[in-house]
Amino acid sequence: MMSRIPLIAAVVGALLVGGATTGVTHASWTGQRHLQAHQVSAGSMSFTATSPGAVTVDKVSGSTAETSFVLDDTSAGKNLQQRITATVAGAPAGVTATVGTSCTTTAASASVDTTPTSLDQTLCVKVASSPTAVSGTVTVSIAGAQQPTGWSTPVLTRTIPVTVNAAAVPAVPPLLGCLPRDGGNISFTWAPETGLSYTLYSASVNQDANYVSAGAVTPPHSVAPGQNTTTFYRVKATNPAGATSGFSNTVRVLRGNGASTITCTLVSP
Amino acid sequence: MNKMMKGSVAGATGVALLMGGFGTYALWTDSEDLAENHVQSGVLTIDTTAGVYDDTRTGAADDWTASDLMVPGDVITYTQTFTVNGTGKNLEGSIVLDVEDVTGDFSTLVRDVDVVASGSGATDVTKDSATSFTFADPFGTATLTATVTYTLPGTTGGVVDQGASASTPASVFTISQS
Repeated sequence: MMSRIPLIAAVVGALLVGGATTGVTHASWTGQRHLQAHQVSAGSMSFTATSPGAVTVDKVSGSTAETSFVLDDTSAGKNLQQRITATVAGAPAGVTATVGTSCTTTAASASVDTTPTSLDQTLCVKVASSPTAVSGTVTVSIAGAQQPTGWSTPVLTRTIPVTVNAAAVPAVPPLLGCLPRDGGNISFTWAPETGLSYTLYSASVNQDANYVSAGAVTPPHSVAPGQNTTTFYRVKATNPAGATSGFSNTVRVLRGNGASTITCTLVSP
Repeated sequence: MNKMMKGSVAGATGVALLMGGFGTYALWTDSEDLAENHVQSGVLTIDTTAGVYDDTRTGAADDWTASDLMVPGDVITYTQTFTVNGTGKNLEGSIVLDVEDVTGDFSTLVRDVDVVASGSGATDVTKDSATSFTFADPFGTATLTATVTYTLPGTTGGVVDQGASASTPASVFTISQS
């Protein structure tokens, strides 16, 4: 009989524990639904640029050449707006390069605003030469920046080979001769060429003496010789590139004691 | 028949007559019905509809899709509506959205989750946190709008987070009696 007491105690304990457990896990209403799985993704920003062609200019002021390249926005993103800016980063000595959305309006840099669905954009590069220009390469740096803020692209570089042709030396301007005296003045003239400038040189000793520059002149040129003087005159032509011709032939202007003694003679060479 | 026998028969007859007279007595009585009665249970339910994306940069509604691509400055929302019903005199309990962690390879993306109660029962639903509510009384019907907001800051520069993606797994929204 004594050996049954622990068994009874165990059974009673189990029942108590079971009851307690049932109390904790009492049934209650509950319901569940799911917030659905969802996702977001990011786009990207990029562009491509074609290679502009080479240009050739003359080694003179005012000589220009144009080339172009095409920008293609290759970005992805519903709200992406990209500003692509091209900047002239380098040019050979004596060469000036500018860029623009058209060749009529260029500057040191130019920008275009694009979206992933934009049409391709063409930028013009204008190269201007000078008398000191040398051949070389124009470098254009191109980069994109998201508008108004955000991503930016790596810098893309495009180069434009520039060939500068040496300017030709102008032909020697031939003096045509003297014009009739006008009081104390007398003139001599030559046939001017468009784009050339002329410089007068004079010598008072003899025809072969050292000629000294007397400044820029235009034909016909009038001189007022002093009493009892003999002066020799020659001219040189200079083109926009700065190239200068040799001396023209020579004019000799004489004057005695009066204006009536003034004479103008075409002499050699 | 002797006298004793006759006497016994007469006695028995008298007792029988007496007993017959007792059974026909009239007594007072009364009755009332227990009225017809019934009990009914309340409800505790939650239902939902499909969620929608929206591009907050535009004035249009629900104009974003899961395949659209974000860029810095974008704020995209995913909104899903839940309708909860709770009736029953002694009903009390909680409503909890257990949002799963976002997964993906963004480094600057910010995710924010908020649930807003509206509708006739909203006043009986107390907001304890951005994603949990309690109720101490039957509240009828309320609408709980869960909005998950994804922000790619405009300060995200260079090529950071380009081509990245992020996902929020399905998350349980539970309404429970307590």
